Amino acid sequence: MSTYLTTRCHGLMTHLLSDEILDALSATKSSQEIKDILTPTDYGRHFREQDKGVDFSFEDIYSKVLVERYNFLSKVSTDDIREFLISFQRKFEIQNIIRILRSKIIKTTNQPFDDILYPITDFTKINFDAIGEAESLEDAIAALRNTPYRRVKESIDWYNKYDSLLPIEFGLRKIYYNMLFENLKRIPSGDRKNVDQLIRTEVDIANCFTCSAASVFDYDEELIESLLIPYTSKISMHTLRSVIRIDSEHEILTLLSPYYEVIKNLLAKEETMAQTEALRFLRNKIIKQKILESMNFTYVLCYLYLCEFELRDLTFITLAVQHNVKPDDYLIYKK
Amino acid sequence: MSSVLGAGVKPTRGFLLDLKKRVKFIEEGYKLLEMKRDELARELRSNLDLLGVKRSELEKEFEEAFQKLLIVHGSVGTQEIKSLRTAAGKLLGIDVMPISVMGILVPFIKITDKPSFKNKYGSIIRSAAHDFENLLEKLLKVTELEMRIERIAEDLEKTNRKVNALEKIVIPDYNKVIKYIADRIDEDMLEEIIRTKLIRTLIIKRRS
Repeated sequence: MSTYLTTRCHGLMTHLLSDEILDALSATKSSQEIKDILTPTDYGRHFREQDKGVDFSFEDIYSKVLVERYNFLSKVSTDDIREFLISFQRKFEIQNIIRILRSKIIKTTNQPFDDILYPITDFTKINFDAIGEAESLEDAIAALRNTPYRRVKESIDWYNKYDSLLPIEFGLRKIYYNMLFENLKRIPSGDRKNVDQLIRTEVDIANCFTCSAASVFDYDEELIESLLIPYTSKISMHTLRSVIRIDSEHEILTLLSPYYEVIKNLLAKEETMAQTEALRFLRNKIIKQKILESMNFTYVLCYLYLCEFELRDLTFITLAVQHNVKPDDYLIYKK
Repeated sequence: MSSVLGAGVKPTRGFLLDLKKRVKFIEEGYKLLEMKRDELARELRSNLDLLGVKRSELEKEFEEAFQKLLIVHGSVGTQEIKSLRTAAGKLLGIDVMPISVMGILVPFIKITDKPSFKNKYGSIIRSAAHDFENLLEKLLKVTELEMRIERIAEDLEKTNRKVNALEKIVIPDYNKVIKYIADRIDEDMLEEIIRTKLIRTLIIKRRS
């Protein structure tokens, strides 16, 4: 059922940037050099449009290519797989909603939001303009009433209590994971366990980041507990709840030992390094799965994760080059 | 005669006494201004030393915070950073009030509304946001100190000018006028004595 898709992904995998290209990009000194290196790749078409005068930033181009890759896979999939891929892709949809909602917090500003959204159009039914035009955060959330995210209005009380958008952000993420796990039944049964584990690892890491905020940044324990996403893998909700109330670094490291490197950096307030370690952990898992499940649907998901990693790597390198950050200072954050 | 007194100089004893009183008063003022100048200079020096330390500390911390922000920016991308700008919820609000230091009005910055980062930011950005939250207050303190130094320096310059004017122009001019009047009075007295002697000689001659 998904063999065709998997085969296509084998072909598409060759389009991903190799480590040699990423190393060459890291050695560049200017945006033009980056452009020259990326022109023969999937990004080249958009760079040529940019040359014709279309106003795209590098990051816009990278996001466009990622979304195009997702869209292509959705188009060549069977109905069930497409449904799953769309629900997987909804992470960009909720990210867009979150970004617009953030602009509603400071009511004095009416910033344009087009430039901060992922360019998703193919699957989304969300009217981002309507959310953006809302007068207040409450109105913006009301604009979600006919969407799968209508239940997020339940988080408004938490928003009012803590004057923080985090409950709404995480409310949306919980709905996202809920839909994603519901749609797991649409993928081949032999792949469900692997895909489930990959997504749960992602959730585990997100939960580690969340619960460390209580001890490191003194975030409110009750708030942090409400943000935990229940689809865990190696760390149970009970453990996560107890971590929120612990101050001892040693105990936290012991309880969250499966993600030792991530937690160690989080406790040292080195969050970008923690994220890099988390992505390395996930990447290693994906590379293993990619080899073991090379003829199954899991391979497709591995490809999509690798596309996202490529976006992060490219964004990182481009911004570092544009801001004249010394390679030694940022290459440690490369996966 | 004098740039200080203009044409109103009267070479009389009364005027001389009045002038001497005035000079004494001016000299007392001059001494006070000199003391103020020294005190302001001392205050300025100590504030400059403090500013040097605080500023280099702040610059170092800013450099580290910006470096961290650059890395975070690279990690999450420009779109996310742009959207996170407003997540703190509030804008920084300050009141600038004048307080008097040795009669000089220097600004005192009071924070009325501060963006809070606690409970507001998700992962990755928290640490950078936390660093900038701490830096905001330090930045305002350094700004306050810089303004204080600027005002003290302005006042020191004015005081210095006054002291110099008194020392080099006003007091010497007064002293010149005093000397002129004293000389004139002495000359008048001498004239009077000689005149008296001449008259006395004439009277003696006539009698003899």
